[in-house]
Amino acid sequence: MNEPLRALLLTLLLLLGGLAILLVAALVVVRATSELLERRAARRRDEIRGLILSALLGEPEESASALAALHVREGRAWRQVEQQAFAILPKIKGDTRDALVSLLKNAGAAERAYENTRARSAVRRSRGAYQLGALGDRAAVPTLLELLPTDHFLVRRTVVRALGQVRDPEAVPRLLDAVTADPALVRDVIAALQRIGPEATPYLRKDLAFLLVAEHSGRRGALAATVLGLHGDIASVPVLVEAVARAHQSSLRAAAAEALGEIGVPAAVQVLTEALGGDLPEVQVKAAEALGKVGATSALPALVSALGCGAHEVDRAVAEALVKLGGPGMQALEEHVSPYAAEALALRRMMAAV
Amino acid sequence: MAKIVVADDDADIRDLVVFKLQQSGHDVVPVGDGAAAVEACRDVLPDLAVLDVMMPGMSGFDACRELRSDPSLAGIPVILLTARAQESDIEQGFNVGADDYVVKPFSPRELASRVAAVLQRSGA
Repeated sequence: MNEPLRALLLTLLLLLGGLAILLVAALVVVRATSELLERRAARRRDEIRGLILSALLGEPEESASALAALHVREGRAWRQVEQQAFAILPKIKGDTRDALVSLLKNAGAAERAYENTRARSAVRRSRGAYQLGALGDRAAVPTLLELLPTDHFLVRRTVVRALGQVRDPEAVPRLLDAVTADPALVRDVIAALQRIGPEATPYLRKDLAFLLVAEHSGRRGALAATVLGLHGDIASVPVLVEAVARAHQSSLRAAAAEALGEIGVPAAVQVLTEALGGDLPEVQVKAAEALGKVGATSALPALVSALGCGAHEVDRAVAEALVKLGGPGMQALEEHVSPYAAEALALRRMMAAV
Repeated sequence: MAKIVVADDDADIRDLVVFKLQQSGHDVVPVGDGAAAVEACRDVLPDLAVLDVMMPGMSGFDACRELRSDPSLAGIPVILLTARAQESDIEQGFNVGADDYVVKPFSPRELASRVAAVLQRSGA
């Protein structure tokens, strides 16, 4: 190798080595700076968290001093307070929650939430809906309902959850509309209707009764029936009985049967027994499960006759229902030749041994 | 003053519970999951454990079952803290040996009262 080429290679090597050292040094600096910033941010978070907790739960003097320290924060510093406060809000109730809502409202958080709901960005609209839901003010319902028909799923879902948090029963029909339009919202709508509580049940009953008359049932009716069952609403038994007996769609009949099982009234035994004797496995399964939950021994003959006569999922549900009936049901299973009877008994013995 | 282990993977809730119980004069050991709660109970033998039900890894139900199966820890009273409010969940909580049950969203003041009541019952 000639001398100039060797010198060139050496220079290149030195340059590369120098660059590598610079790169490592830069990485070390970036990492150290990032760790420092993270530690500072964590300290700020902890400090804000401490002030919020003192303001909410501290002794009167401690609380007043923490409130004063929070109120003097402005701009970015206040936004960090607001972020933590909104994260805590849905997790608490009682006077602690009231105090946190006051803290946020006094600092103009509600106005900022409304402003967010009018933003072009779907993320900001979602944040606004979340904040309005967390503040729990019924005056926010019209704004939330206006946001509901959006084509952004994230916004729709946040609005549904927010309506559940605000707990205004007037929103029930619109929540049912939302699930009619978008099946992906089923779980969120059920959770929201559960959060609204017993005040939602008259609206759900009315909706279900109308759907039966109008012969439009399906998903919306099934959801209304499910939630009525989850609320254990005894006043809904007549409309649920009617739904089991004559709804056009099997999904609604099945949901109504399940709801009657959740409510657990003996008045439902006759219609559930009739449904068990039908020819729709989806409905028969739910009717058998419901009879087991109601625990009425008057259903024993119908359950015994149904065992071994239907689809395998029906047989299994019937055998499990007989187990739930206790002594008489267990005896019927002992005497039955169905393999599902033997399976249910074996499972029962295993569970008892655990 | 009682020694209390508090287990919740949600830092917001854990901090609230810890603050409230410390304010009531208790010595609190905070942890983030069920396995750590059982370990903390072995280490400090607390007068009470407040366990969240839904935690990663070992749930509050499992942690409670674990405590009840160990003769040296079986006597520790347990309060379960959970978002699951169905009757069957509450029944399951009592079946695994919990002494009380607080449903989220919760009132810190109510939790402190329940803690006081359970400690009084257990004579701590």
